[in-house]
Amino acid sequence: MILFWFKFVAAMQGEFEMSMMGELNYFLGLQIKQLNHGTFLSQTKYCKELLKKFDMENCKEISTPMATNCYLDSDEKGTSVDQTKYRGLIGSLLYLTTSRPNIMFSVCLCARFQSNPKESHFTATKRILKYSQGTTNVGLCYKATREVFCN
Amino acid sequence: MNVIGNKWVFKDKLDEQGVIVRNKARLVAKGYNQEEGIDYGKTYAPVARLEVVRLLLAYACMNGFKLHQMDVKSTFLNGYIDEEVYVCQSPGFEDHKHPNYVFKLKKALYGLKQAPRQWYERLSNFLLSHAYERGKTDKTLFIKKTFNDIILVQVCCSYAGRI
Repeated sequence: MILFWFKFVAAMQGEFEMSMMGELNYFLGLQIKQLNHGTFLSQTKYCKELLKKFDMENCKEISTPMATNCYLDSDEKGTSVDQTKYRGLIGSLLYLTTSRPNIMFSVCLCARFQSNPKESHFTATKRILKYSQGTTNVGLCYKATREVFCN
Repeated sequence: MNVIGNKWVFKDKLDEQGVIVRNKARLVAKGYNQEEGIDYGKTYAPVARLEVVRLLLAYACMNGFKLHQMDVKSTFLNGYIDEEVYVCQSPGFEDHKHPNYVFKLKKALYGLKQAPRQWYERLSNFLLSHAYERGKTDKTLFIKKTFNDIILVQVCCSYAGRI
């Protein structure tokens, strides 16, 4: 198995100028830990940078990404917010769903108002950021087992 | 026929603390002046989706593979181009005896419309010639199998991995 790998490396190095980066641990903002009993995937660094980008690095933590009584509509009478910023925030949050599928619903709900974002939508989106503030370390864990489990 | 301009892009590489660790310079072509049909043909290049990366992680984990990462240096400069593309002399490196001369490109430059495609083309040809099989659905996954060994190569914009 190892021989196979060495052959591949040798062939690639013969053809292109390569740099070997060893075991996969950081890639496109994904932090990857490969352990014997499983693989852990998180975006801690990315998440912190995201909070910084939107000036939320010192914000309070909230335990849920969305209020239970949250109701969003087009809110035509509300004050408009910067659309570019709103879209940027949605895009960044969508990337965060890679290791955090649990915020998918709330992000996608907020994403529906990108064409005409209002203050109320922006507040809801910022709540997701506040939620991620308290959960920067969580991520996905793949267990090294062949058992298929479904509940 | 267009002569494509180019320029230097300078960038400082920072480490985690924000300290400059390296100064980078890259020559880029002003690909926005390229005309379709003359300076470039097809431009589509497959790129691995993030979901695919996650799937690969899960699959590798399940089978107890260790993934390794490697990086091709100045990737896009490796692609060969089929079209005749001419570029101006690069700023700071003009030939004073022949200021009107231009360069004909053999390989791609960053910024050219066809650069990503040509790079993918070169890499996939290389892997296919080494008996790797291209994924039927995911064109960025390359597999090689023997009786009991398997190697998976996932090609991302700057990445290949496996054991």
